[in-house]
Amino acid sequence: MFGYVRPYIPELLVREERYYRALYCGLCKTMKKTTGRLSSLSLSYDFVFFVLVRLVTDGEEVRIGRHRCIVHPHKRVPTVEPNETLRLAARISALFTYHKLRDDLRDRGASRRLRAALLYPIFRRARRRARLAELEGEFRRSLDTLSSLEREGSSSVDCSADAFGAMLAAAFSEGLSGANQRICHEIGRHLGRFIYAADAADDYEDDRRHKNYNPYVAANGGRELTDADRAAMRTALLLELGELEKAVDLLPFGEMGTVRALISNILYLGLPERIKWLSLSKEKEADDKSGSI
Amino acid sequence: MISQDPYKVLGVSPTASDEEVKRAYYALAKKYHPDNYSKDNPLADLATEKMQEVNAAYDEIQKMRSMGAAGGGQGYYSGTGYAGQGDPMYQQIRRMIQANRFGAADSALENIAVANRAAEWHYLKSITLMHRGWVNDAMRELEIACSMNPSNPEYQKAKQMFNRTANGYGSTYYNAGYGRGGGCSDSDLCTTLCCMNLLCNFCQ
Repeated sequence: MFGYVRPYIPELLVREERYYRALYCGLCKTMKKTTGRLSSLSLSYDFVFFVLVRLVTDGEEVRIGRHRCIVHPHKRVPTVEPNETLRLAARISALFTYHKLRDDLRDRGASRRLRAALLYPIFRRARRRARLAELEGEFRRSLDTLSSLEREGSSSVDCSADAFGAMLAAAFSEGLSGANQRICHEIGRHLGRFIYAADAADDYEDDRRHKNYNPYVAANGGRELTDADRAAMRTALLLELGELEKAVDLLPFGEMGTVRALISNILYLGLPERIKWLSLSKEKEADDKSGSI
Repeated sequence: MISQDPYKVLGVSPTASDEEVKRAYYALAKKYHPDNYSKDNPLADLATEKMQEVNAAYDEIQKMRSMGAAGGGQGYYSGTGYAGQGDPMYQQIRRMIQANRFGAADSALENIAVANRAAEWHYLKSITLMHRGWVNDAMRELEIACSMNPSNPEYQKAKQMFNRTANGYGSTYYNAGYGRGGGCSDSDLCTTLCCMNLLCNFCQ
């Protein structure tokens, strides 16, 4: 879906990386079982982050078995056996993909529309099997807000980012109550806000050239990005990560050292990778130029 | 309030040295410091709870360890050195604080008439406030203590401790050896402030 809410692997301990991969494989396996064999096509790192966070709050047992699959036919790989947390992640993932495809069917280029049309039947069924009517209501509300902001040509990144954040907040806190509900709600909200704003910043030049809607472009009256703009975006995004950190720090990790290490790695190294280009503006421009010739 | 093992709360082993315990405590206190969670933060109350848990765990460990030998520091404040000076009334309050009787210490402080409140009163008040997690008030009281008696090293030391806690995103993580640069360091603060101005232009 976004694909970059993931750890920076070189800084992980070997056992942390193994655990992470086992979760990834476990999520894939669970998706096949819960929302249909082909729904695992939409498997993404982002939902492994969701699983990590919810393992802390749900207290589900993590049992690692060894399984073969199509991607690893030559040997049995460590795989977390399906549990409630993984099943929830699979169901929410199906819902996300379904709505993403609906969006793609409407307003993207021809190849993307074709791809969406091919996948749509799979995820229409997966979404039905997800049975998350209440959460879907939240999704629809957020998506409606997003598209009406887009129609208005809103120049507030925060407004749109908030709508997207509300969507992830509802997803992360699904089925929880009390303090954990509030903590996960905040984690989802700030992660969503970060993702939306980071994507908008990243798409700036493309959207400007192709006259697509982008709140940053709208705010700048369609001018080219200056170094000062980049610095401002970077600061706002780092502040967002700071808020995310505060919510993450309140998760009741207890003795879940590996999960904690993985979440910290994603928060402090994985996510900042995404906005690194903002502080390396000159080199990035040089890269772009040499690439386009 | 303590139902958990205080060592687990601080994330250290029971065999950790006093220094290690202290370091773990400072790292956590920095993290859950009310300065980090402004009043607008919807999770501020949870952070306060966590802070109290961490304080209680540290106090508990201090207490357990001082059973045999004479104790080390007292959280943000060292209770050593200058206790011999001044009013016997304050000495009594210091003893209450050292015995972790913060409630009693606070009411004893409140019983002292406003006109009679010396620098030491504000310093001790600041300790009891800090224990409650009321950092803003604690800092204000400490500020008053320092301005009433600027040459007192005990007050200055406590103030430095406060200043050290003002730190940004990721600092504990980077200090733990994961550092690859990036993130927000102290030297970034100026740039951040400059950028805040730019952000304001954005909103117009």
